[in-house]
Formats: sequence, C-alpha cells, structure tokens
Amino acid sequence: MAIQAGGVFFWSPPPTIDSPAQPRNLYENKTRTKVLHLMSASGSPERIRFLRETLAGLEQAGGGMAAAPVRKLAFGREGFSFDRLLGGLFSGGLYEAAPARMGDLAAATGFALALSTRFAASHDGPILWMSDEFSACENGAPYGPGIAAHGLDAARLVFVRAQGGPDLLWAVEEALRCGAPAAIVADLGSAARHFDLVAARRLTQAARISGAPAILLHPAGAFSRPQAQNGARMRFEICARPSAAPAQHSIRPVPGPAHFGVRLAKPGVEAGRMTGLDTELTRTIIWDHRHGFFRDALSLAVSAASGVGDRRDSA
Amino acid sequence: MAADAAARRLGLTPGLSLTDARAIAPDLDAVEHDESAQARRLAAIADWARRFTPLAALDAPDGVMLDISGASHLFGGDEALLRDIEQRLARQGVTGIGAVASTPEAAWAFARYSRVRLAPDEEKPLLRLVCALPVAALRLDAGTVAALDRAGLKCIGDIHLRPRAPIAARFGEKVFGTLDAMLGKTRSAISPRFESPAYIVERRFADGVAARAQIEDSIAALSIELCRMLESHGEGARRLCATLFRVDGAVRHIHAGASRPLRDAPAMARLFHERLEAAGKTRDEDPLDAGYGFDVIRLAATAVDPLDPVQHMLAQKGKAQGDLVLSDAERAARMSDLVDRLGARLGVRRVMRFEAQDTHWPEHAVVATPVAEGKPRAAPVAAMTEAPERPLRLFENPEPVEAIASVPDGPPVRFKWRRLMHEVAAVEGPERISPEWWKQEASALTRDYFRIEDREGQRFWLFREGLYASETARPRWYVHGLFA
Repeated sequence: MAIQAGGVFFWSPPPTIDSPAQPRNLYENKTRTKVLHLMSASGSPERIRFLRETLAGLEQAGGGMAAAPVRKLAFGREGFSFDRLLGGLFSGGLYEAAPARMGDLAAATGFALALSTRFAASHDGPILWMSDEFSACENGAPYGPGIAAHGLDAARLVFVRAQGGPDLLWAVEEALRCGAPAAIVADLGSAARHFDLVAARRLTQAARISGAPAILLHPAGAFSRPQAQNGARMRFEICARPSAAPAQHSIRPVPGPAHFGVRLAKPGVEAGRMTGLDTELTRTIIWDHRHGFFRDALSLAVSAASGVGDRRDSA
Repeated sequence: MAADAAARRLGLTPGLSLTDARAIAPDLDAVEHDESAQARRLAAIADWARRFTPLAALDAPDGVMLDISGASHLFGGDEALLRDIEQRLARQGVTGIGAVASTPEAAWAFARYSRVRLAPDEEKPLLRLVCALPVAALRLDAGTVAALDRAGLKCIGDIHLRPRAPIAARFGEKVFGTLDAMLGKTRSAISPRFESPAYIVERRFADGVAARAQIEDSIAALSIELCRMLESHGEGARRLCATLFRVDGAVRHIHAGASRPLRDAPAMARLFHERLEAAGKTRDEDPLDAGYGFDVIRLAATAVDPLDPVQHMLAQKGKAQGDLVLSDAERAARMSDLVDRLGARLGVRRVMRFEAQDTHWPEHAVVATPVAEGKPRAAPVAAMTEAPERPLRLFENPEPVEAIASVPDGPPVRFKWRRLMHEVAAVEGPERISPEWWKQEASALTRDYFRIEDREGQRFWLFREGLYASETARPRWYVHGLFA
C-alpha cells in the first residue's frame, strides 16, 4: 500500500499475520524506519518538534516509567580537553564508536572498553561485553588478561556471545532494562545491519529508564558516510595513533600506552557549547590504563601537524 | 513370538513358534522384535503416565508401575482411572492391560495372569484371588517355575498351603518373599522413573491448549502457585521443569535454570518465555509441536535451595522505593535475573566470565566459565606496566603472517597480515613462552612473542613459532592478538 502525500513517499508495512502484540522479533521489523527517516529528511522543524512531542507523550502514556537521574562523569582528570568540549560523560544513554578503517577495530575496542571503565569507576555493577558469534571469531575474542591489563576489573566483566544480530540486540536491551550493569559494551559486528532507528529508539528508551550506559561498537567506516540521526548521545570515530616512545634500555622505540585518534562525529546534546565544534578534526588522546582515565596527548599541536586530516586518504 | 489383538482373534497366542503360527494363519505378518525401540516406547509411556501420578516407575521389559495412592480420587476412583488409562493407551495404539491392587507385586501378577482388574484390599478375598494365580505370577525365573511345575506346584495356592521351610530350602527364599510382598506382609517401594520433585503444580484442561500465549499464561499462573509453595517452606528453585502432556500421549519437557534460588513468579515465567523463544528460533514451524494441544501442564521445581526470607523482603522494599537507587542486594538479584534470562534464551554457555588459570600458555591462561555456575575462583589480573603486555582481542587460532626479520631470531621489520603490509615502527620483546611439556604433547614449539606497533599506530601481538636452529630451520610467524 503506497500513499503519495505532500511530496513525501510513505510506505506503510503490510499487516503482519502473526499476533501484532508480540511480533517474533522486533529487530527484524525494518519497515517503519523508512517512514521515520524520510520524515526527518524532508519535514519542517515545526513538524519534527511536533512529532517529538507526540512521541514523548506516547512514551509517557504507554510506559509510564520515569527516567533515571543522569549521572555526570568525566573522561579524564581536570582540564582534559574532551570534558571541556563535550561537557563530560552522561549515564543513561547510547554511545557509538566505530573504527575509521578495518585495522582500527582493536583501537575502537580499546576506546569502548576505556569508556566503560570510566562508567564503572563510580558504579559497583558488572560490565557486560556482548558480541556476535561471527565478530568474536573474525576479529578475535575478548581476552581476559588483556582486558585486565587495559585497566578494567576483569572480575566484574561478564561476556555474552549471541548467535546473531537480533539476539544480540535483544540481549543489549535486556541488559539495559535490567539496570544492574555499570556499562554495556556491544560489539555489533554483523548485527549492525539490524541496528536501525527503531532498534536505536528501543535501546535509548531502555537506557534512559534504567540509567545504564551502552557503548555500541560499529563496524569499520560506519561513520564515514552520512548517517541517520538516532538517539545516541555521542558518536566517536576511532583510529589507532602511534604511541612509540624511545625506550630506556633499548635502541628501538617500544609501544607505549594506547593512543587513540578520536573524531567527534556527533558531539553530545547536553553540552550547549558544542556549537561550532569541528566534527572533522581527529584529536589524539591517551588512555592511561594504570589510573583509568583519558588524557591529552602531550602536544596537540604536534599531533595535529603530523597529518591529521590525511589519514583516511592514505588508507 | 508375541501377538497383537488381531492375531489373538485368529487364535494365535504369545509364546507360539513362528512356524506353528504360520500353519494357523499362512498370510501372517511377522516383524522382527526391536528391543531398543520397545524400551524407548515403554519409557515414553512411563513418562506419559506421570500425568496421572508423579510416581511412575518403568517396569521393564513390558510394564509401567504407577503408585496411585492419593491420586486416584482425582480421576473418579480406581476403576475410572484404570478405564481412562486403558482408553487413552488404546487411542495411542497401545494395547494395555492394567490392574489395581494394594501392592505392586499383586498388581503386576493380576495384570498378567488373571482377569481380575480391581483386587480387593481385604486380606481374605485377596488371598483367595492370589492363590488362584499360577506360580509364574511370583516373578520367578523360568528354571524355578519349571521346577515348581515338575513338583506339582501349579498355582500359588499350592505353595501357600504347604509348610514353608521345605519349599524355601528347595526353591529359594524368593518364592515366599514375593508372596509376602504380594499379600502386603512385607513392604516394597516403587522406584520412580524420575526422582519425584518436592514441588509440583499442574493444570488440567478439558480440551488441549495449543496456542503459545495460552501455554505461557498457564505457566505464569502455575509459577505463582509454585512460588507460594516454595515460600511456605522457605526455599527457592534452582532448576525448574515445565512438562507439557500432549493429548495424543507425547510429553515435552522444558528445563530452565536459575543462578540463585528463585521464588519470583514473574521471573520464572520470563525464564520459560525465553526458553520458548529460543526453541521457536531453532524450529521455525512450531516451537512446541503442539499438535492437537496439551491437556496437562505441570510445573515442578526439580532442585531447590533454602532461600532466606529476608532477601525476599529486601527485594520487595527495593521495588517499592522505585528504580532510582538500587541497593547492592537488589542489584545482585537483578543481575542474576538477567544472567538467567540471557542464559535461558541464548544458552547458559554463552553468558560467561573469565577465570584465571595457573599457566602462562596464552590460550590456556584464562578459561571462560558460565556465570550461572557461581563465583569464579580467580579473575585474571595483570601487572600494570607502561604499556599493556597482553592483547585485548585474541584469535582462537593464531593467524599465519609473512614476516621479514633482519636476523633469524630477531623481531620482524615488516609483515603481511590479511593482505596488508605493515611496517614495524616499535617493538618490545621477545617474551619467550615455552610449551608446558608436562601437559601438552611434545610437538608444541617455543614461542617468542613480540608486541609490535606499525607506522599507523596499530598494535599487534606477533609470535615466532620455534627456536631458530635448535627447534626449527624455518620459524613461522603468527598474529595472535591485537592491542588497543
């Protein structure tokens, strides 16, 4: 059934045969997304505001669940640039990270785990690592000693291996609704194609109500092309950065603590001052795994000079 | 030879030889006896019979014993129950002969060697009936039966009326042992097919229910009853089993486990919901295979642990206060609920935590154990060095790379992994890890591990397998993991 309406092409899904109250899996239902997406692309600001309010009203009436209070945390110690730029980290929302290129997946993993460590620092709950079967085989499975060496309390880590995209997203939503975990890291992998706007909305709502944060790890290059704006608080594109430091006892340089090149693809909505923030700039930060916070690379000027913008071209 | 109902009408009797039978009925269908199939069928029937009483015992090779004390009145008395069972079996295509008696031995004997279906409870009439039975009804081996027969002792009455000592001396004590048990002078218990769980609730339906929503509703209602029973005994369920009895006799068990003693009815119902969801994924057409529907749904707590009532109170209080601030106990309870739910849907072995092992071999340094199994002994810890010494992601199978090293036992200068060339910019190593010769087979080679950073900043955990010259002439290189 197709209706031509005001230049926007609506397509309503055919009525499902199995019980509409409980479709077999919500994450396999992709049709509604299209409508929402087209609306936001061509609708006027008033219309979008109206829809937002309607949605909020529906959600209040339907769920009736109040949002958990938002905790504000810091990326790093006082004066860290991201805290100034983004206003800090906030519980109860979605964070998205994606590697810039295939080879940066480990760096993005490290960044996601580092974020979860920040969330877990002021919370006693466990940290959940959820991944798809395929991703664990293809990109390596999380390794306990390595995670401990990265600064995470491995005793608090629970890892879940789902058998497919819908199952993984279901597990993330269940974990978010539960409210007990300090943070949830989801390695979406092949499940990313199931993560549409409906799924994002469901996860955002779950996170808002329980106050738990989820960090979603997208496949490489997910943010290189323009993306639909889902409800995620922040979106980071990560690449690995040289960390080599001259060694004390060796002529060769040795690898140092993890250096990340972070592009703020979507700065937070909380920070009013993010207007004018350059979303194309890649900033280099260091994860201090011994103390569990981020810090700026020693000299921003130097790292900026050493080829910031041309990294994707060289790939 | 055994004979079915049609064969009996032709005048064939069990025990006849096949050639004799063929002489009577030339166009006879003879089927080879399949012992294992019969055993499976009998086990299924015993399982099915548990719809009448939880105490159902397999009585190999051809019987099922039910302890119906306290259960028969639910079905309108012994006679009605017996008729019900025989009719239901007949509908399943099984010719069953049943008998009710006050002792298992007597019931066994009457079902097989007499037309008596409802044996009296009083001693005198029972004795009269028992005495008329042939000696084979004492469940003796064929040799003893033949010997008794040769001695002219054809029926139980012949034995019962004679002095015991000479018969016992000649034919064994078992003759009287069974007789006494049959008459109720000594006791014997039915050994049930499954351990009968302490907590059972069930629901019966006049017509079979087939819709999944209805089945889940029934399970939810049953969990409330079960929780009430558990609460009055101060216990919580660790393992649950929902048994669905299909109208045509098939039985389906659904098991669910809980990582802590569970006495929360909605949580129980959710566990079964996830189990059904998971079942629906593997078998698309009909997860429950409901057919004509289920007419009995039973929920049992098959393993229970004491559950402190205080904990329950705390959980209640936490809920009343709202979800804003979670106490530690409430958080732990919610987490184990989550673990159970994930385990029920995805499988218990997909919700894991790391447990450190006392070994330095990288693949074995940590094992994953299901969270549902309880507290781990030791979580992995790492020395906090300048840079992490172990990778975040480890490949289950190290991936071979083409590496070029300046000297055979030195670090690589560049390497090619997944069709991409990486120029080494920084190296730390080697970290030599020798195989545990006391555990593994001798073929494992020593590994020299290097932490490597390429010019882009990507970090790898490479190793060279085999010591140059002493172990191998051409050491091979592998990527084993990736650092952040």
